[in-house]
Amino acid sequence: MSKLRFVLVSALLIIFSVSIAQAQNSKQRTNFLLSGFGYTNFEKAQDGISSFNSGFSPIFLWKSGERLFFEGEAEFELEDGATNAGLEYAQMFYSLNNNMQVGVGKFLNPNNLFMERLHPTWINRLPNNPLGVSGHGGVALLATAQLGMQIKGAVPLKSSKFTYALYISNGPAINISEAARDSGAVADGHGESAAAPGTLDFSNYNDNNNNKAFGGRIGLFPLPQLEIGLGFEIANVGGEASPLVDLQAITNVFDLSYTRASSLLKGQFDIRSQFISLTIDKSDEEQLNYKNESSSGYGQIAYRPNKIANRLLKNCEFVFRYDYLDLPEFAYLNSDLQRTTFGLNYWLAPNSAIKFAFENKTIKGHEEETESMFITQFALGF
Amino acid sequence: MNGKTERRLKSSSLIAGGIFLIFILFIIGCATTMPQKQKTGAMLWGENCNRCHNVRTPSEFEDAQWDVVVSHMRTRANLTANEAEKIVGFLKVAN
Ligand code: HEC
Repeated sequence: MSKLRFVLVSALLIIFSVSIAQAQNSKQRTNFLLSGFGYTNFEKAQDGISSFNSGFSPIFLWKSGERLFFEGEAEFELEDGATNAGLEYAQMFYSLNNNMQVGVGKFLNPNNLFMERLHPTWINRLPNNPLGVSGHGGVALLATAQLGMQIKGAVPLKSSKFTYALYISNGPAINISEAARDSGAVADGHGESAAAPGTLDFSNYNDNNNNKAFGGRIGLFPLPQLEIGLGFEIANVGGEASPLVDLQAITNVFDLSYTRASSLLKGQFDIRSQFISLTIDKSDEEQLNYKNESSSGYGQIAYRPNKIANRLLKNCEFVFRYDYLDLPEFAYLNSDLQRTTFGLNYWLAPNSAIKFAFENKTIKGHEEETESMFITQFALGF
Repeated sequence: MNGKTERRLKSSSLIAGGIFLIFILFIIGCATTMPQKQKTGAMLWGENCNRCHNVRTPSEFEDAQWDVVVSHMRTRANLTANEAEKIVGFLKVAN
């Protein structure tokens, strides 16, 4: 099945890019660009088997005239003995005026700062994603992408500006399936995508109800290098004909980004943080009758001494990240995770690096266990 | 007070606190830099194009390609059309 999907997606993308390339030749004002990124990982868990892994994500960009713009990204990953092909995003933009663009399609979630702006492997300073922002490494509290429409843009304010994004989308669906509960795939926090009762399913592409999720984010720039963001989403997550139809999920997000070159410290600092809090209504249903509140967060600091003379050292970057994921105490899946990661990167070019990371994870479920892992990643943006 | 009101209160006080903090930082920030509208392409490039990833050198792409890339970055970084135009202008001169 996934092989068929892989072939189909590839064929569609090739046809699409060829037709756009032709459009480009015939019309002066249409421009096409193929971009994207690839990676190869090598991972070794303390008591586990070491393994290579690899994937790539081509990005197709098409600008037609001054106002129309299309972006599409496919994702090819190897997972559990198969090739996963996916559509990360496909969105058409129309520029309404200086301060506003309208986008329709499947787009990266504007209130999930990490996934919208930092996840490509040549941008992410560590080989994996923080907890909570995507399914990788546990449970996602926030969608990677939304299917719907959005408006976004910026408004200048004296010497600064603020940015905004508002969307309506299908939104998430609540997981209630017994089958998922029994599979136990994620009970220990190792699984890639969680489907345990009480968690949210963000790939709700055929919406399960008539209610549309409403969300957005504002970003403020107290300094040109400092951005502080506040995001939210309100969505009904139950199925249309079910008793859960009014079950509401409210998400609040806070994020902070600060990038600064310091001549005193002869290098560049990069500070990132994002906190997510997700609250889902308590219900009388058996699997959902508890206080369903989850949260996650991460803080990361990276320093690259790119202003010193030593050629080897100036391409090195030192990274530290702390992240956590707290799941509701009475949920079927209640393991809490905490992780610290140290990273060392060697930048070969602005868009390619070799990364080494050592992480230490504490899993608090019925018992407490710790796990450490070593990851190497070769990342390239193109 | 039921749980729902309680957590709505909790989240709204969180938001209110956040907005207050941002307001303070904003005032501090406003004092230092030049009006947004007077900034040149080079300045906007310097302020924006290294915020999320390493700076990509102007020589890496040709004029028509930069048009596409900066439109892409307008959507990623929420730039105004005006900022995007100035940055493209700068890149086309510098490449
Ligand atoms: C808000 C974060 C952010 C800012 C600010 C930003 N970029 Fe990007 N940039 C990205 C992301 C994310 C990608 C990867 C593409 C994707 O995931 O869609 C990218 C990709 C690129 C690429 C690869 C080609 C492409 O379009 O995918 C180039 C070149 C680039 N950026 C140049 C720039 C320039 C020039 C600026 C200044 C206007 C800029 N970036 C500002 C986030 C940002």
